[in-house]
Amino acid sequence: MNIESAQFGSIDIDERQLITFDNGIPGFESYRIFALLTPNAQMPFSFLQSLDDKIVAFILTNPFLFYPEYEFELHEEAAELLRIRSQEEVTVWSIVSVGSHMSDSTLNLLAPVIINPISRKGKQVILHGSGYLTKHPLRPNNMDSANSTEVKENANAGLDA
Amino acid sequence: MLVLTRKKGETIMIGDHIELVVLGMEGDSVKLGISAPKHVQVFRKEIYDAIQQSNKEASQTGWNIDQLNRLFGKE
Repeated sequence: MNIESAQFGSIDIDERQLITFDNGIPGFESYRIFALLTPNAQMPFSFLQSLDDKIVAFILTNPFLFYPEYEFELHEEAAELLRIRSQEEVTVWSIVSVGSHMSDSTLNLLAPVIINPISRKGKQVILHGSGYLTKHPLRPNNMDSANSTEVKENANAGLDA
Repeated sequence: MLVLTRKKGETIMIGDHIELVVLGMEGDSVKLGISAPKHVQVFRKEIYDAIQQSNKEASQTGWNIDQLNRLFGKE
C-alpha cells in the first residue's frame, strides 16, 4: 500500500509495517495508525510515520544502544493491551528529538514506545517515578564518530519525573 | 468543573473504584492519597504535559535522518 510522508514523499509499504496505537500517543491522541519504517537496517534509526497526518513522524532508536544500563518494568496493563506474552513480543524504542545541531539530539527515556511486532500494537508508556527524563543526550559512547564532550553539557536538560 | 471542599482525612469517590483522600496540608501544598484500580494510570499532570511537549517537538519534520545516521551510524 502507498502512504504519504512529508519527509519521504509517497512510499510503498507492507501492511505488516502498520502499528496500531489504541490510545494514540501523548500530544497526538487521535492518531492511531503509524507505519514503522527502517530505511537502512545497518543504521540505528527508524521512523514512525503517522498515516493520519503526513507531517507527523518520529525518529525512533533502540535506547539500549546509547544507554546499555537502561531498565524499567513494563506495567502489567500495558503488557495486556499490547498482548505481550513472551520476550519475543516486546520491542523497546525511544523517540529522538533533534536539536538545532544534530549532535544536540536527545532521547526520551521517560516515555519509551513499546511495540509488539506480532500483534502490531504499540503504546508510549510513562515511567513515572523512574527518574528518567524526556531529554537524555544521544551520547555516542558506543558509537564511533561523534564527540562526547559537548554531549555532557546537556546532561541536566529536561524534566524530572 | 465540580468543586468540593473537604477537610483533612476526608475522602471523595470518583466512580466506584477511585478514592481520593486529603492526607494533610502544609503551606501551599496539599497531600493527597489515591487508591485506584491497577488499570488506571495516576501521575502528575506536568509529566504528561512534558511528554506531550517533547512529542510535539520530536514530530517536527525538519530533521535530517541522513545527517543523524552519519553522526551516529555504525557502518
